[in-house]
Amino acid sequence: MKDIIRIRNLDYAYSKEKVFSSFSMNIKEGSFISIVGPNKSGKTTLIKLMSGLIVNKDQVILGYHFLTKNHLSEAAIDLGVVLSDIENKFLHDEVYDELAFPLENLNCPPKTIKKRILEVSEQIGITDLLDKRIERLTSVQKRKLFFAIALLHHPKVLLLDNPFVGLTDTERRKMTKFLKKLNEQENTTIVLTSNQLIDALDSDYLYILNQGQIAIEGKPLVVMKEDQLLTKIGLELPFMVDLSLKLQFYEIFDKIELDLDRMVHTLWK
Amino acid sequence: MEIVLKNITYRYHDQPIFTRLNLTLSGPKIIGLMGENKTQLLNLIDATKISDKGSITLGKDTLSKKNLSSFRRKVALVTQEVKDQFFMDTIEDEMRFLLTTLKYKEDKIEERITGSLKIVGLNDRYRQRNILELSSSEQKLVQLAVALLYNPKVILLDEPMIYLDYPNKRRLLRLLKQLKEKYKKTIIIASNDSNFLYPIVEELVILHHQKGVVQGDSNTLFQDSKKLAKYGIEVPYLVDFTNKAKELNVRLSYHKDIRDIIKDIYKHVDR
Repeated sequence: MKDIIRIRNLDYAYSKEKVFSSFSMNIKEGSFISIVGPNKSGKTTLIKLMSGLIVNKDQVILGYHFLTKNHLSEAAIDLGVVLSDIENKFLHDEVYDELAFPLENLNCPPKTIKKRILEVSEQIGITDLLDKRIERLTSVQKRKLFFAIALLHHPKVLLLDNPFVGLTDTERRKMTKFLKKLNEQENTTIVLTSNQLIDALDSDYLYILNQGQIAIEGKPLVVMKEDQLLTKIGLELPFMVDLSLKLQFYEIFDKIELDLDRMVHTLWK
Repeated sequence: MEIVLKNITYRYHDQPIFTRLNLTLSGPKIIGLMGENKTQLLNLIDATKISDKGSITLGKDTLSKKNLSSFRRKVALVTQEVKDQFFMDTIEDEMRFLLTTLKYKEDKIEERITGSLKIVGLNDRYRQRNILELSSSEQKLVQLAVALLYNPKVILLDEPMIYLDYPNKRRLLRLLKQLKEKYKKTIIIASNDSNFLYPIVEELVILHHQKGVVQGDSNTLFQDSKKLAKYGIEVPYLVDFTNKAKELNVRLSYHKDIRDIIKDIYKHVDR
């Protein structure tokens, strides 16, 4: 598989504070990766660099092109981006109009627009919001709307910066399972950042970002075995992973079990 | 301090939010607020929004047009988004502005600013910083420091931990416990996150359908998985584990810390 995003020897500073120095990362087409790190580890900057919202010397490659100002509009068609800041980002009063707008811009016929909006709304679980005014949405609902907008045009690459803020763990798992399905069925490349390890459970590969550097990387459940390192960095293990590892330590259990019911039944059936 | 909401009816953008809602809360206590329209309820208690009908009483004061400013001095709201609480460029300007409107004298102003920052663990260097340049965790601490400026008895927090990473979540938890124990504050935390609320709150309030209130001891309510399911609230993992074990006739107790449940599991498995 070829790389769809390539970052090589990236140097980047934000108001004199160095965020990245000689940072490299390659993302394969069709992969689902998570980048997890504590606050201020560089996650948002990384997503902005990957999406061309920050353009830095010739250091980020999307598809075949360097992300430079000249290539940004081509890039926009390939990309779906969700940023974590939700304030004042909407252009319309009604949810439906906000969803229709990007598709109208791509000259889709009205029938296709309606069909696609219903499809995505169903997937994200916002069908009951379509006739609502945006100002009446809660912040979690606004986040889901952002998510839906990013998906509308079947982007090749989905860049999601901490998109599940305010969602409960059950809702988070539902969303990441949906992303997994999207990744498998439509071969969408997904890059997801979060400050919570639970969001990485459904991805193929996990990078732990700390102070602008990759602290550790690998398959999510393999990385999560490094509980001491992760705690030191400031990350909380998902409850079931934490419980499994602690029970393993006392030799009560022999693997990582993510399903609570199954664990209880294995222990006491 | 007692907070009494009587027969509150409130519409927002022509939509009924509360219809004859009654709720009494007393502190010092840490209270969890879950369910529907949590932010709206906090805005009413904070008197940033005024209900159409009914009365709100904090201690001896019932909110009216005449005592709006003295009423507001008893309560502070830490909003979910930092932009909803901040207007000035630097943190010091914001704090000075607030204390000046509350008619604090200059020497008192200095004392309050330093004192409030100190309680949340931030030093004086933060005074000249712009709130928007800080990390989300620092922002939350500054918001809390602003809330503490005029020493209100009641502190309301709207989803305070959604932007926080794990170390800062724990820091905030410690701080809130301290505020209750040392400074006798009544703290109301609105959140959807059962796992966050379960170890810290003593009382739980679930709002539903404009006037419905389920209120009680937080342990009892969080252990009632049927009731929680009815209101769409997740059972905390630690409780869920014990509940499921009990279904298999394992006599596991309820715990608020994963290390404690591990010890208990250890006692109950055959090895």
